[in-house]
Order: sequence, then C-alpha cells, then structure tokens
Amino acid sequence: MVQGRISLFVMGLLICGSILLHIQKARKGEEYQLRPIPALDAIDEAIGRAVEMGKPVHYTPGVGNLTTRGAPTMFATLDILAHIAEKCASMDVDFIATTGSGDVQTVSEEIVRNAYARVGKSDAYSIDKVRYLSTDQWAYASEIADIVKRENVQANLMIGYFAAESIVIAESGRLSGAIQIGGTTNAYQLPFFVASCDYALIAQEVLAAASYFSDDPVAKGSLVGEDYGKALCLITIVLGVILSTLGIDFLNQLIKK
Amino acid sequence: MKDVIPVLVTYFIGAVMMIEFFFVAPWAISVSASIRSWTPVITAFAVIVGTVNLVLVHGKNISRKTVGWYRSIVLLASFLVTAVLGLTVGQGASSYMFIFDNILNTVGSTMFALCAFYIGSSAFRAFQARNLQATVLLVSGVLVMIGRVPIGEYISKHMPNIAQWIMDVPNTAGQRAMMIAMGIGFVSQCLRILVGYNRKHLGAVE
Repeated sequence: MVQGRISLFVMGLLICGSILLHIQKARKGEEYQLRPIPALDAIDEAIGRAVEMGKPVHYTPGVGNLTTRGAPTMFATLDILAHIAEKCASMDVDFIATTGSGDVQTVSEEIVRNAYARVGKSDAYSIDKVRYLSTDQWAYASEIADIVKRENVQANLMIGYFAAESIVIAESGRLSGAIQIGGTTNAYQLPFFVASCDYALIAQEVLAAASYFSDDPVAKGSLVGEDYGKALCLITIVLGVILSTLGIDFLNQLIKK
Repeated sequence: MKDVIPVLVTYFIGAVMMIEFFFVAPWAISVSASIRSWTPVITAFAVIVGTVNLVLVHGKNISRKTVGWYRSIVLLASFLVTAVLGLTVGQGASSYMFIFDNILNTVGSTMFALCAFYIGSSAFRAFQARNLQATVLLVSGVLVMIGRVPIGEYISKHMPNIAQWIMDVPNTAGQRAMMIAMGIGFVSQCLRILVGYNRKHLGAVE
C-alpha cells in the first residue's frame, strides 16, 4: 500500500461499510427518521408562492460539472432538480433550470423531461425549461441575473456548487424580490448565501437533500451510515486531543501511516 | 441493459482510480492516466449538446419576440462570429484574441467588480444585530476587520492577535467540521454511484 494512506484506507472501509450496512437495513424495512431541514421544507413553500403569483420558479445547480469541479455535489443536485421539476410540473407553474456545463445540461434535460412525464405533463415540457448558459462563470452569472429580472422569477433556488459568482446571482435575486433558497458545499461562498437568501443549506445539507425528498431506503440508509462515519471521526478527534494532551503520540503516528 | 453497461463501466473506472490512490500498482497509474485524458473529449461532446440548446432557446426568443429578444440576436451573432473566427483563423489569431482580450475579459472583469458592491450590501444586512447569533457575527466581523487594517494596531496592539485568533480557532474549527461532514457525504455519494444504487444521471426513473 502507498505509505501515508493506510489509515485513510481503513477509515474509508469503515465508513463505506457503515453506509452499506445501513442501506441494507433500510432495504429490509428498518425505518429511519430524518431531522427537519427548514431550507429544504421551504422549497415547497417557495414554489407555492410562485404558483400564487403566477410567476416562474428558477433553479440553478451552479458552475460545477459531473467530472471534476464539485462532481459529488453536482450529482446530489440532480435529486433536488428532479424534486423541484416534478413539483413545478404538478402545480402547473413555469419552471426554468439553468446550467453552466455541458454534461450537467445533458443530464438535467433528461431529468426534467422524466419529471414532467412522471406527473403526466409531458406536453408541458419544452426545450427552454433547461437552459445552457455558459461555462464562463461571469457570463453564467449575468445571464441568470437577467433571467431572474426579465422573467420576473418569484422563487430563485440556487443549490449546488458555486464560486465567486454566488453573490452576484443571490443579490440579483434579492433585488428583484424573489424568495431565495441557496446552498453550497463551497465553504467560502456560504456566507454570501446566508446573507442574501431567505433560507440557506449549509454544506452537507445539500448532499442530504436526496434522502430528504424521497422514500428511497438507499438514500435514507446511506444518510444514517454517514452519521456513524461522523461519530467515528468525532471519537478519533476527541481521543487524539486527550492522548496529545497527555503527551502520548500513538494515535498521531497511527494516522500518519 | 441500458443501465447495466454504464454502471459496470463506472464500477471499473472507480475501482482503477481507488487502486491507483491506495496501492502501489504501476498498471493502475497508466490506466487511470488514460481514463483522465478521455475526460476533456467526453466533456467536449457534452458542450455540443449545450450549444445546441443555447441556439434553440435564443432562436425561439427571436422568433417569438419575447421580452428582450434583441439581446438574443446579439448573443447568437457574437457566438457565430467567435465560432467562425476560431474555426477559420485559429485561436491564436489576433482577430480572435481581440474578442477574448477586449470583450470577454473586460465584461468578465466588470461582473467581478460588481461583487464588491454586492458584498457591501449583503454584509450590511448580515451585520444587523437582530438576535444573539447575528450579534456574535457582528462583533467577530468587526474585530477581524479592525484587526486586519493598520488602524487596528493603533487602537490596541492586541487587535491583530485577536483577529488572527478568531480566524485560526473558531473559524477554522467550524470550517473543518463542515469539511469532515462534506467529505463523508462525498464518500457516500460516490459509493452509491459506484455500486449502481444512484442511477438518476443515467436517465433512470427512480
């Protein structure tokens, strides 16, 4: 094995084992309760407000892509997109999704088309429901700012992977008076969403959205497995602090292996 | 079968990448390097889909004369000129670089500059002491800002140290907690994709 990655491999095995174990348990019928996440509950409220106003709902997953930049986050946003598109289709409200990379566009078109089909509204789907803007972050941000203002968007949902353009998109939405829900796994952009949005999803809450929206045992079980992984990390940190304070270097050396 | 082959391909590629990372296996290094070199090619094909969508959406705007339809003409004209120049005279040509240096970069810089004003307006709202958490944010924000400018040291010689402590201890602790939680979330997400539990990206209706 590569020196310095043995402990990482063992930790990875334990976390993956925990996730797979809880997925199996959930599939066998074990019920898990998830804590309420206000920002995810607010998505339905924001769509409801757009329905009342008769104005569109806008969703963007950010500038990440499915291969390199923020890939795991972008995969998680596909579940959020599916939920929002299905909700908008069922409530007959205009829906606009915007993307900033070719691969996300390709997959998003398929997901939104499927969402419309699931609620029996295939006829309502059109090519401009999912719009490709640009891979350039500033071109992408300025186009979203324009769409939000020009099309009078009432619910502006920004959940995914964002870089510096996050503040431009969020403040444009706020100025146009839309109800805003933002969320990202990029810690440097989170303060902007917290300041500019009505609700913000913080880091891992973005990844938990799939489990939150569906009754799929795989999604719920994996979330419980993740919690056990977090508990393992917490125990390791506390143990490390105690041992280091006592001058015992054992755990530190073990982690470096 | 439509889903099985992509899942098997994903599983194989994921396994090779993990073997390369954790084990000393020269064959895995060369295989993973080849796979990584395919990424730009595959991404380029996806960009074609995006470009088709861009042209169709803006073509529809023009034909239906929706609000701001004239902007779609500007976009399509710019797209056409840039694409034709790039394909004919090449990306290093002065005419192509003129567009890049004098239009794209300039407009991008303008948008970037807007961030300063937007950060100012959002910070003003965030720093209103409406409750305990917002007050803590306000106090720590003011301490960090004052501690990081020359006047902070004139007010008190401890100000830079206080600012640094806020950044190094509570701020770093919070960021690391988020990073650990996200890291485990990423592992879970990738695991579900690798073993084929999550197949939405393949067009599967779950």
